Amino acid sequence: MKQKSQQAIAVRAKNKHNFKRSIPLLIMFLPVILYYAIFKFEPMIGLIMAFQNFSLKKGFFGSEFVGLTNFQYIFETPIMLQVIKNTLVLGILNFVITFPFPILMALFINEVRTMWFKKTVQTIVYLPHFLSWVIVGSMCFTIFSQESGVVNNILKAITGETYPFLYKPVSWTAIFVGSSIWKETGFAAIIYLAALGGIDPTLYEAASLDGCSRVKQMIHVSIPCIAPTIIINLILKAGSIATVGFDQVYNLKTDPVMDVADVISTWVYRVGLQQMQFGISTAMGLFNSLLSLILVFTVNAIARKYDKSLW
Amino acid sequence: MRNKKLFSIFAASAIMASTFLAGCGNQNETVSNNGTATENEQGQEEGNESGEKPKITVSIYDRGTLDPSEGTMDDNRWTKWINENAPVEVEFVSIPRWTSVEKFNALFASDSAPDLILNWGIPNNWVTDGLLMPLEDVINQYSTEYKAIMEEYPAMKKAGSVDGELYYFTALSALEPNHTLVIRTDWLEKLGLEVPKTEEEFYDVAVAFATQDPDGNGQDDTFGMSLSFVSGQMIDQMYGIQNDGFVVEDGKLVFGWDRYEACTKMKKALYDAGAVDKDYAADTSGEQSYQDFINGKLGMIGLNNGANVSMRTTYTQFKENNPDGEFEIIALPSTSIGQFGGCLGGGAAVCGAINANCENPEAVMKYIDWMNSTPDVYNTLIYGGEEYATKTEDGVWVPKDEEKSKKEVYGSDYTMPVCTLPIGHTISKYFDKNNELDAICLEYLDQATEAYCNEEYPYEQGYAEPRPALDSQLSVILTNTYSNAADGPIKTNLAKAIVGGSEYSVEQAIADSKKACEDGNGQKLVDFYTDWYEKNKDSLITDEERYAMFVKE
Repeated sequence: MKQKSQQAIAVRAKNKHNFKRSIPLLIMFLPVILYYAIFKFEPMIGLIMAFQNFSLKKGFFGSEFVGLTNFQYIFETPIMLQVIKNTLVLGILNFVITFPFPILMALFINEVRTMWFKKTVQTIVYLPHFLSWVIVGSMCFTIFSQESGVVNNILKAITGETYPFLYKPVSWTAIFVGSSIWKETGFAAIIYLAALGGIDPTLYEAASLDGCSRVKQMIHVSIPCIAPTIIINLILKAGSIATVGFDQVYNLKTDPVMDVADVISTWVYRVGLQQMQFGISTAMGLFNSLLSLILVFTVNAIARKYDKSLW
Repeated sequence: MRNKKLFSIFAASAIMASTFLAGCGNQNETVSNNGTATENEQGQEEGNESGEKPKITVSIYDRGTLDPSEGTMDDNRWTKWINENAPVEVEFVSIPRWTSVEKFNALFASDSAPDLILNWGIPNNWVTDGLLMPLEDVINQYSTEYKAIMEEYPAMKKAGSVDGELYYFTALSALEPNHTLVIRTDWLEKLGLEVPKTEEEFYDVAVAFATQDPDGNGQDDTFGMSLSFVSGQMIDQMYGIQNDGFVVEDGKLVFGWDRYEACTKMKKALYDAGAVDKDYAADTSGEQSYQDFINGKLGMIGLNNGANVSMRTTYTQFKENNPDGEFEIIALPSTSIGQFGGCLGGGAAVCGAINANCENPEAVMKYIDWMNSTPDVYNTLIYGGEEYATKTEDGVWVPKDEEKSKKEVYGSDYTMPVCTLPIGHTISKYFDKNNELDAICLEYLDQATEAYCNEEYPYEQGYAEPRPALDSQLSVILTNTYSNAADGPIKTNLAKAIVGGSEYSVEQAIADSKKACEDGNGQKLVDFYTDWYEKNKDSLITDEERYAMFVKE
């Protein structure tokens, strides 16, 4: 008995000591907590606008509550459903098609043995990430335009006809996804390169002693070793399916393709910021976030089936 | 040793925390410092004789173009000049020009919007939300100058009213040309064509310009017309489409479907015939078409501010590239819908309102009256006054040192509430007829005035027409259906028809658009508009009132 209580006292004392010892760490942690409280959680109060007929004059607490009217309008209006559908189509295409590219690029760069070449390629491919969509957008317009675009010049030389790539839904979507690949692949590859760099070289040595070719080493050593990184990225990326980037769409859109290019973020910009309908645009934004949350959980649940889940 | 480490961690976090806090604190301090600084200066300059001036806050656009050595838009030589001369003490609040509405929204939400809100165009939502003060009583009680101008030009009151109640200040300026249709007369002559008077002639000229090699270089590298930005809008205007697409027909406010159909057919025909740059949809600012024009590759173009001071640049650049080229400003060709005057600038333009929380509307009114009391205020802020410019006998202010004026004279945004029509300011006052280039610009201004400021052409949609305030539901319906300013279904379908070749006809586009409007509950909006027009048509601006704002010889 006595021993036990003594043990308990010792544990308590140790806890107290631990707490004391970590006070400086906690103090250092404080700004992070504040950051999240002030910039991430406090703005969430604004979400009540989704259930209000929000008026700037009356504010959060004075505006009239309208229940689910805003959501009802969203799901009853064909154009809104079209916008949600566009978001999902573009988001899923972007996700599925762009996802393997950084992995492939990292694997290839990893195979390069000439150091200066490797470094140069790495630097060049991640540069586009730092260009804004305004620049990438006008580059796409220049490349695919009908009167003077490179692609159409070649096409005209061969077939004698030009094709309105920027005006047709299918080709526009291809340009949309392609521009994502061009811009983000190099940058996204960095994390895989880091993972590849961390693989124990003895694994490769063992594999090559067993007679593995370079290709087989890639398949049986590199890929399994970076699989956890791939899964984490997959789950994180799934969250961004429903949030098709505003900048990208806004800078690539042309009038004739708006029926496939109008997504939730551009709609919210138009109705929320330009028309000042904060209630309904918040409702749309909230729905968008819910969608993202569901997608993250779904992908994680699938990953769990293979024992690779994030949580 | 360990303690030392601990101490350094402490110190680091303390420093971080204090910088964070100081960051917040400093800002407040600067504000109050500024406040006292202005007060001190006031005290020194005014002495104690005039007593305390009432204090107001006024918004001012920040276009990000001010030379840093001049200070900031809320504190510089002209704000000081205003504070020295105005009967009130003004504290200016900077508003980014191109996101002004968003900024005002944020200020309203945090209860810190200025007393006098100045913006070109005020969203009706601010009225419905109760953020603005009704002006009728304020003007009747406190105003003299502004009230007098408003009584002389009834259009001001009508333009400033929302559903019959006066909320907005309007800046009255002469109704003068804005968009202009420009044509290469040397190309016309070369191909033996006449200035197009009808839509058929317009189409023929545009196609001829594109296909008959008017620049004579043996290459198929010219276009007849453009569809981007103002050029495209001028084709809309040929068919009587302006603003939001709603038009008055047989005394009723209806959506102009037939106009859109005719207009889109013309655009599609031009596109299919190769008379326009096919990449127009990527040229949203019209910059590409402007470059084509000054480089001698484009035969007709719609110019924004097309008879104003920017004509100096346009003409100079054009002549540099095409020494033998000639161009003229022409009237819009007549169409199956009628003959229209195009988009004009000026008139009674909504420019401001008073914050509902303003404590001293009398002082705000005094400030606006002061701005309108004498031409000196305007001339000083626009041209820098006699220190910077000399006035010719025609009343034109010529800068003494152009470079110096460019850098140090930037007061035009402070003059937003000034009514320039009563003080006789017109576009022509920017041009000195003794200057060769200015004399040419004056000629173009005359051409444009004759072509567009003409009482024979209907101006029912000449400039922003008053529209009713919409509640939130109707606003969303408008965005989702009839709104052609945003990327609504109508704009998309019509654009698809223009570029769609034989796959997608204009008739189909109109039918699809009508269906989209129906699905989006658009009928509710149309009914609301129709009803509103029926009730308010007598309080809208009449043609007579509009023509009163033309420049009188």
